[in-house]
Amino acid sequence: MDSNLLQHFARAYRLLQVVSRDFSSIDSPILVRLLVVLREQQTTLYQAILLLQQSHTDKEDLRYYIEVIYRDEEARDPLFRAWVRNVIWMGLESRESTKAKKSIMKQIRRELLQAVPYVEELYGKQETRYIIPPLMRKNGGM
Amino acid sequence: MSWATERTDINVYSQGEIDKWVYSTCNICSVGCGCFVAVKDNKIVGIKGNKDHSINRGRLGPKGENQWYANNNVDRLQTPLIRNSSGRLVTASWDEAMGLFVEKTKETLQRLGPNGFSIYSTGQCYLETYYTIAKIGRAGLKSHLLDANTRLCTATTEWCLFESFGADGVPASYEDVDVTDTMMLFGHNLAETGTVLFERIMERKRRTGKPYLIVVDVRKTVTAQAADLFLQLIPGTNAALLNGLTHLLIKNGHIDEHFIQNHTVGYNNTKESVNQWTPEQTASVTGIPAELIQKTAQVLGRTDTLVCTTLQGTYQSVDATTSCVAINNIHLLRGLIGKPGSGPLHMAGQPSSSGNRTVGGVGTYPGNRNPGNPQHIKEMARLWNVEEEHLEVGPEKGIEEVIHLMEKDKIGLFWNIGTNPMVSLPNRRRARKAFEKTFVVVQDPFLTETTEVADIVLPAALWGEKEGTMENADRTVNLLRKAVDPPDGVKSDFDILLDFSQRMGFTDQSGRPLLTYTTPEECFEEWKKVSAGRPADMTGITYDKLEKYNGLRWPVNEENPLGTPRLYADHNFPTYPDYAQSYGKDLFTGRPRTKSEFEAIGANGRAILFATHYLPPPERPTKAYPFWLTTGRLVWHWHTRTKTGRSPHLQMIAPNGYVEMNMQDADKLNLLPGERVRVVSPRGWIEVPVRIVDTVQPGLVFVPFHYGSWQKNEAANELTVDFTDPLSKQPTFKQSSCRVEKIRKNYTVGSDESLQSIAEKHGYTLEELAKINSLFPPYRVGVGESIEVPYSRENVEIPPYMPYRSVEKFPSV
Repeated sequence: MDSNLLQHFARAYRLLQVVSRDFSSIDSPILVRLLVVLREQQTTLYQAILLLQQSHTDKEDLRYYIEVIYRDEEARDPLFRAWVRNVIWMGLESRESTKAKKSIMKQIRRELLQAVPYVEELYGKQETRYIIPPLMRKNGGM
Repeated sequence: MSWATERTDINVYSQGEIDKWVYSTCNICSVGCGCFVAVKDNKIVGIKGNKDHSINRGRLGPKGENQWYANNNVDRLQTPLIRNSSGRLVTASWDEAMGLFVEKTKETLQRLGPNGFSIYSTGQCYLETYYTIAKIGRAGLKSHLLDANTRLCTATTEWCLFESFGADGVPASYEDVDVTDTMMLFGHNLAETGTVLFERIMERKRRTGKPYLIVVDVRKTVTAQAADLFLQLIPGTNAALLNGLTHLLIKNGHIDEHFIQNHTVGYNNTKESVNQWTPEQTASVTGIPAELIQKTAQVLGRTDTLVCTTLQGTYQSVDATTSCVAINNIHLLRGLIGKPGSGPLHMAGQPSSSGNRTVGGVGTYPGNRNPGNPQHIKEMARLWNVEEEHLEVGPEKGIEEVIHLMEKDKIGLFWNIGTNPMVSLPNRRRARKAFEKTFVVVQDPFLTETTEVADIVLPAALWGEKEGTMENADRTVNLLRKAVDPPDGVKSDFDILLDFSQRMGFTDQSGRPLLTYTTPEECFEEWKKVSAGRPADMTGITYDKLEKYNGLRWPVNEENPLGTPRLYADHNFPTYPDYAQSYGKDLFTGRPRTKSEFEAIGANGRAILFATHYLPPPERPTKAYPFWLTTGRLVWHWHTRTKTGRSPHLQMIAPNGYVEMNMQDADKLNLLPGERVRVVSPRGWIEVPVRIVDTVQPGLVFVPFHYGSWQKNEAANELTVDFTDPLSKQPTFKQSSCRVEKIRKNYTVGSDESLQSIAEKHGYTLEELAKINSLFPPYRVGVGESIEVPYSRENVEIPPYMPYRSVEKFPSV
């Protein structure tokens, strides 16, 4: 299918693997929620990648996976930012560790933002409105 | 039947007879009391309750009676203001101010696109203003960043209703309150936040013994003191308690299997999620004795009728939407919904916050339309005659997310209508920095803490100076006639919006002006067409009919010409995917559901039972910050006191901020009543006098959030966390951590001084000075010895509102 989309999703997937490993202990209730979102996003990216690697991709199945990936991102962003504040106020981990995670999260978002035009190519601008949240479509978010 | 008797509360100050009484509705809390405005010489000079209005039968609350003083205050803004190049707000004409506003809007749209423009409105305006905000915001500006202070107030109501029932609209009403056997007020201090409704309940209770009252709160509030069962729980454990109660309902067989089978889906999810919540487990988490939990479950399990209410103790706590869904679950498991005396009544805080949601000024599209449903977007495009692709798709953003966008320079213009976020937002220093980076337009009758960061200030009319409708907490739409003209130079919010739209040149796709109505009533007539066939159908309403019948509960249509006292009497819920207002979000993570996921739930007209998982608050007391901090309201003030602070009576009763602390904690810290202390959280500090009480539990302190002056260091929101509920995005004001520090000076004892003379010199008794220095009789202090003396002490006496409300406090100052 679309190799550009595949590349961006694959890179986001690898980054998610890294950052998920970096949360060594569950130190906050926010992190409990965040990890559920990250796990779902990672699993769904994996499924999307598998589909994109096939010669004939089921567009409907792929669409569902993309919807979930971007909705996870929509939930992930405020949860992660809240967790960062929680870390600072409760002194839960070192600033360096948090900074590293922030950097990876930013990269994941960048990969997903860069994938948006390829989603639009696949589904058209009008349909993509219902697949990808507004601030990610217009590159307006974080 | 509401109220056994009528009683007309009246508060008029006039030289000679008044000219007229004008039909209106109270503009303070969400109860929605009918009233009349007294007018003399085109000036508001008083108010009286409407004895024929079923909601209040003439009664008014203390804030309602005194709200009109603000109208005549000498510091009303009467001209727009613009911040000049030296950073000062200077007077400007309407043309100059609106011209600059339009110029900045166009610049923002060009630079950042439609979502670079954000509107933040209120729950205190009228439906017609909200609908116009929706139309200008969605179809004119093409933005989806429409939020309101309802985010701080009742966003959780909306989301718990989406989740369980598929659409907004509280199922029960005050008519159910009048006939129910049992009420559970969950995190709802009704006695101080909705005085007239509380009076209505207590009047019936004194007369008939009903309803049996269960009150759940972290504080022993005035409401709690009237309870038959009071459950004082550890902060942030609402969901744990509800899981424990649900566990017992199922275990005891107190569930309606027929109802569950025929009218719900998801029973097994709920059952499984509460399996572990035995009374012992629930007791260990909530701090409530297991026997009390069991007794409560017995009451809830055996009652034939039940109304549960919620307010900020639930909405502004951790697990907010989960807890409200758990309450919906209880009603569904017991089949106690849609019949007289039964149903959840998730309250609103403000007089018309529900109305803002209904007509789309905040949240979803007007008329409970789903922003993720292409058919609903298409329908809105047809109704407004605009291009479908100009209407943004997707759920709204909460104010915390908007602040984040401001921090990232993604918002170019922030239009603040009728609210004072620099006092009301959590972690307000962060919010201030974000506002300072953004071009901010503030629409308000007065200079406020928020106008300090405004670039343009537009003077807006107050209650009584404009016409329109409001929707209260139980879906009643009430009318407010215009009593007087606004002061010279002042415009109504509605007229400012119309002016803005016209100056922006907003048109529909035929090139006609986007807004064709010119009066609130014409606007309401347009809104009625938009509401047709939707849950909040108002096609059967006219202004005259609202006045004739003293308010009507939606839906009001051909089928229900006099309104609908309770929803879901037919047990048919709006959970059909094509009709629902939202596909919802995952209750644990807040991740928005896709359409196919919502379809897979298979509700299709049945209500949805969800699993409800408990998580504790993210910020908890530590060694450095050993106290829980909670914030809340006083009976005497409304929100940030923009109006009530200008009533001499209310301001005199409660002029300053304070912190309430349990007497055990005060003893440990050797604090005197009224002694000024510093309350410090990981975000900031305040300095306020301490009230020593037994209404807060040991380990918890309470700070009222009304006081927010930048100069006085008494704002509760210097301290609060800005974490939000994952679904409703409502901030968790109720759970932060803090420490309390003494502010004392060291005094060196002179050669001719005794403890007695030092005490007298500083205005304390000998015993008081001895107490704070842990001295015991005979109180010997040596020359050159250093003792502690408080810097200051203040009177923190707050009188009770009504004779039967004796606020417990100890000791009295």
